[in-house]
Amino acid sequence: MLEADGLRRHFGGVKAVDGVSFTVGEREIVGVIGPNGSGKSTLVSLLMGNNRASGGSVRFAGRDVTRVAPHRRVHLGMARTFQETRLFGDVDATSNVTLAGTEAGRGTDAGQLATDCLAFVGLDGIEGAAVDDLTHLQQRLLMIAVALASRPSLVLLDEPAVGTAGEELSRMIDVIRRIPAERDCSVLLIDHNMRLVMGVCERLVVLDFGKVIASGPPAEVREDPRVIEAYFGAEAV
Amino acid sequence: MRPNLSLLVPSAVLLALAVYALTGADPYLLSVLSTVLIYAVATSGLNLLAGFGGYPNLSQATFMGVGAYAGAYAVNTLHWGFWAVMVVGPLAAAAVGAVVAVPLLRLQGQYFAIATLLLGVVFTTVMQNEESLGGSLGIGGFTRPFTDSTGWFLFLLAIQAVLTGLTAWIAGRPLGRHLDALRQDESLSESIGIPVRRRKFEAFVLGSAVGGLAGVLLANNSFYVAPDLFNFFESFLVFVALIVGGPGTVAGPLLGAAFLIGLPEAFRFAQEARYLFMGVAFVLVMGLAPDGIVGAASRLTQRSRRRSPRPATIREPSREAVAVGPGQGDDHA
Repeated sequence: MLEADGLRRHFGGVKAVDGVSFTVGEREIVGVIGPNGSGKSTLVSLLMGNNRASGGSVRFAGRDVTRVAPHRRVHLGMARTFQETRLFGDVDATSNVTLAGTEAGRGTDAGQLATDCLAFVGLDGIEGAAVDDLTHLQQRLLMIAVALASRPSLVLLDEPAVGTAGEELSRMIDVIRRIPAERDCSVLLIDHNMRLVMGVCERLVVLDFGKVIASGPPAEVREDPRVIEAYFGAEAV
Repeated sequence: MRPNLSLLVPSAVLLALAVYALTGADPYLLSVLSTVLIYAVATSGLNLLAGFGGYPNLSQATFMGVGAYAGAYAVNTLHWGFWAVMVVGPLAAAAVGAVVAVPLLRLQGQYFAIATLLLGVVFTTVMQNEESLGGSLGIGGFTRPFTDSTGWFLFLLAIQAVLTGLTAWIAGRPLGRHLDALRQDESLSESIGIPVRRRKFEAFVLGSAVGGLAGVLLANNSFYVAPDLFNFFESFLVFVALIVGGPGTVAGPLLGAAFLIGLPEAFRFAQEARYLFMGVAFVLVMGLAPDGIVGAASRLTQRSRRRSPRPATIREPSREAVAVGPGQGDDHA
């Protein structure tokens, strides 16, 4: 589905992403973890095209999209959410989803699609609510509904559960887990919340200083001494 | 459809103006109203990118100037007739708009505002020194088929009526919806598949063309153009008219132009101090109606709508745009 090959992004002398390669399979949930500043968000921007790669390539659904504009990647079936809460504040919750649905509507009924996406993330009943009146969790879930409204086959979730814990986090975990089977969509989950990542990902890619330092199933990665060092410092090994 | 996009108020106003003109209007008032209509045309063009799209474009008078001077060249050098001039003005403005849009639309917020402002400075300076087009003295030679003031007024009225309908139509089309979305969040718009750059380009070029049309109309209204009519202060006033009238609304340009042209006329007794009065009036309107006359009116008539949209034309550029320049996305890693 998605293949990143030797992706690089330099800001002056800073190598934010430095030769990152990995793949995401069909209906797979892959997690990208790493400490703050390890290049996770830059990676999302490179994959989505919001940021131009200094080197390397991105292939999506068998096609090289490295130089393709972000909105075209959406038309091809990619979608993303943002680390910070980003929604259209002047319109109600449903309109946020409808707008995204219309854009990549491909002849479907945008209204029906919006209802469907809102129900999927468990937000049925908030249709006419103003974005500002929603709780933090509702806003985070609405962002996922917006991303799913373009009917993507891969969604990049940039720290979807930021600021949630306990029961709220469980709801978020449940929603993300259901995406592959129920929306026929792969997930690339970027986070550093261990409970979330361990709970939903089939495979993990660990970044540190812009490089992949480990990858594999969650249980394996957790035991990797390089990962432990990156997260807790050398003394913890 | 949003109440702000209703055709009811502008249709009623335009109809009332038509009736007034046909039932023996006062010639002085009719000439003032003609100028109002011409600036309503200019503001309607600005409304696309600056109103719906939220980009603080301070170059609309410049595009009026491009249209007017293209018309002056066509009349005096090529000896073209009125209708050909009516076409060449908007086309010239659209062409210039398409060229300058490429670098300008890479900018956001105050950087975009300053760059568009400087465009006007460059244009005025060039025209002041272009002796073949009259230099700083200006140039005349315009002729029009609508020789009586009522016929000319009705012609202007018809143009503004078409533009008003066009604005309402565009608002419901992808262009209007996408501009409204990118005003709220450009990165998010891009991420749901909106061709942000293309929409901004279309809005800028189309808006410039309409500005050029207003310029040709202004030239034929006074049979004369001079560089000072299109300096950056004029651009600023057109922008003020849009903000006062109601950015991103159908009735806004007409009401804003009435404010822009009508107030100095009303304060004519104050002579040089009339811009002081205008400034006070502007502050009052903005204080009472931060989202323009149309926004305030729809808030008063629509109690159920708890909050009106915030005034969005002047906005902060995103943090990333300041830190690393445009095109760098949303990167905090």
